[in-house]
Amino acid sequence: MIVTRMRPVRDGWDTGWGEFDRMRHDMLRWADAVNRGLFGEPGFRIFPLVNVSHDDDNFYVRAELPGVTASELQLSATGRKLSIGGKRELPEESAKVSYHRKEREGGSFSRSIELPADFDRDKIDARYENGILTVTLPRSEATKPRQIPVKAS
Amino acid sequence: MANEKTHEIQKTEGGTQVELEQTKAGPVYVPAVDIFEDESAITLVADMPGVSPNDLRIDLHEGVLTLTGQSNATQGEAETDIFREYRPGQFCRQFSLSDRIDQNKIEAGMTDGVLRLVLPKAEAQKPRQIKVKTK
Repeated sequence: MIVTRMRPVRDGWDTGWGEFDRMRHDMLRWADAVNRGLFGEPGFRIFPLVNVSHDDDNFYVRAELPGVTASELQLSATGRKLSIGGKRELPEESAKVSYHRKEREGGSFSRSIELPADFDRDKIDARYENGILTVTLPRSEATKPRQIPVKAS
Repeated sequence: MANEKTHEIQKTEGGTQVELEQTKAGPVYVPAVDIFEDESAITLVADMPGVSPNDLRIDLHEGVLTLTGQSNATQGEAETDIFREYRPGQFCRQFSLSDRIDQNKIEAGMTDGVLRLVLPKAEAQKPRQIKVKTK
């Protein structure tokens, strides 16, 4: 499993999620320390990092997946769940090189995300660009917000 | 220092401290890198998801290599977050290089958010066999 993730150096302006992110980060670090302590293994961390958002028509799931071959990504949807799986393979360098740093990791990964409402599984669109996977899941008709006109009597 | 928050102290490999002041607001990330070397070149591979080749800057100045990449938001204006684990921001990292690099032959390629930078060593730095003559 891939365990490396990007480490934020400092926070920029506060978008309101800053404090939440920091808390989450601290909790993950704590969980990491506990895992190490209990199992003596490199700690559990999340890969890939995922953002989920929505607008009136779609749900959007975006994942940071640098250096992954698009055709080797496996996406599947069951019920309200979207699963992203695959393998990140790091190209083998010639045996003659000597490494100064080796921070990137390869391996298989999988994550599943439960969306808050139903989506149309037949019309899911997935794109991969600059190392970011964007999955667009159209909301099913019943869960789309609808304007309700108010009649004056 | 007027505002501590806008300053970032980053340690380079050589142990010298370089102060970087960010002009753009937003988080700054340290990309994970692999660096390896063979006889002719030093190769650096860095993970910079969300950075397009046009938003990447590579700068080599007085032995300090600076990588800066802006990852832009792919999110539309009308979208509301459900949950968020990463934010678009800037990737920044500096390295000090001890070897002489042939600046004209540096090659950089960016595919799928991964930068591969080949820094060929200057001729004079390549190891040379010195033959010992016996009389």
